[in-house]
Amino acid sequence: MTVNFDNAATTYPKPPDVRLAVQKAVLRYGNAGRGGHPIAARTSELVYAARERAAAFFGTEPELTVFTLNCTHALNLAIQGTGASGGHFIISNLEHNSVLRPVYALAKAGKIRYSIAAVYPRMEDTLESFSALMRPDTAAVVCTLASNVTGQLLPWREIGALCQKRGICFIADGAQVCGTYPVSLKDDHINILCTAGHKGLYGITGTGLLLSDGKYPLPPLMRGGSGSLSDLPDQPDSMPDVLESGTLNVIGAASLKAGIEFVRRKGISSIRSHEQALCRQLEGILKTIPGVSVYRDPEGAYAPILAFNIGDMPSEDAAQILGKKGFCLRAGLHCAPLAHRHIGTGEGALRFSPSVFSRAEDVAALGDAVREIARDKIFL
Amino acid sequence: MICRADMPSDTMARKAQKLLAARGIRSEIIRTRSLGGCTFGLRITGSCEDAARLLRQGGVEIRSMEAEAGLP
Repeated sequence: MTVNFDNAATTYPKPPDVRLAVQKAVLRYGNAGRGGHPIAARTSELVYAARERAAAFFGTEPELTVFTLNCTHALNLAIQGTGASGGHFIISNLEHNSVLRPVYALAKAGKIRYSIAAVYPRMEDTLESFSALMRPDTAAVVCTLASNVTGQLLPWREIGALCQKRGICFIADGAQVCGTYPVSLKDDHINILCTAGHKGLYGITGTGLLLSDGKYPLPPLMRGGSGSLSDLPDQPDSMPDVLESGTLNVIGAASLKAGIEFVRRKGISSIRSHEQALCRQLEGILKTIPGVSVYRDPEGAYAPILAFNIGDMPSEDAAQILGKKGFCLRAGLHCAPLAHRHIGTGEGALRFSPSVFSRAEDVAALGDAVREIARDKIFL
Repeated sequence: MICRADMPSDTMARKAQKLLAARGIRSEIIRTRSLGGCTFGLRITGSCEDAARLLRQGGVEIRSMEAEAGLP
């Protein structure tokens, strides 16, 4: 038995429809947006349909929907593109390295300055923290919508409204909420939404999305073949081609289309309720085990992710023991050292992240396994 | 009446095709060669004037548009 509780990294297993879409794509499709022959035409039609599904899901237009390799790629396009004009950036103290590192690199190169806003359990305190850091030269706020370590939610709609009011570009990292919470560029005042395709949207690895409202045009990170205006040495400036040089991940786009359709059919709130119930179930069990620390604040709001530690056992050791018992949980820093410093787990923690396919009986068995480790003080 | 319109990308041509289809106007996606090299466009069964109006209302960027020569 192997049970995946590391769905915040990548959902596994994938829905049957996604697996079928991938199989069909390998058999049927070639290159998109290049030639005009029948295989190219049907492939382009598929890619456009995937773009349309994603655009409608997040409240923007198909041409403002860019396929990327992953969320990190999308965030780099957004951050490096917006940062090219300089100015002051604000990020949160829960950011993944996919936000921190590009922002830090721009600052190190002298192109931007940045501040880190503290996130508090109460949404209004977090909002005040962002607001207090905004300056006349603030060009962008870049923040996660939920921590990939603890699942803590940020008040993104309110942050978006604040940015809109002050003419600041709001770049949102939706990797941990897209598919479990409704996210809309329009309703949430998001200018650029970056997300993974392979997490809550159930596409395959190698998929991500950058969705824009078109107000902040981005320069490309890569230049090359676009299938259009090939006589010109300049990269075409129209979206999405400007940000999609080279052959697209057509199989990934097919999987993402099927994944989004799966989420729509299941219903975002139904998926979230299921995953939240599993987190509550595990949290309830863990709180009865002496020595186990759970990193949730009663005043905070959380996406379905739960971070914990078993006494002072290194989280990587605990994850290894759990792995041998068939439970796959991510340990360590989760590429988010800021978030770990914030919750006081500089050496890391275990992270439980269920998916729509996770089962209550497996969560109960995981709880038993943690209890056994804590009781017997098993060390490697 | 046949009208040819050049768009900046395959994506925009497909968006345009859907917008026109929603208004009952038939079109076919074509590969065209315009200033700057190959691109994508539409061969529209209808007048350029009507198509241009609908597409601009729908936010479609049109690079060029002309009635196809020699056809009714």
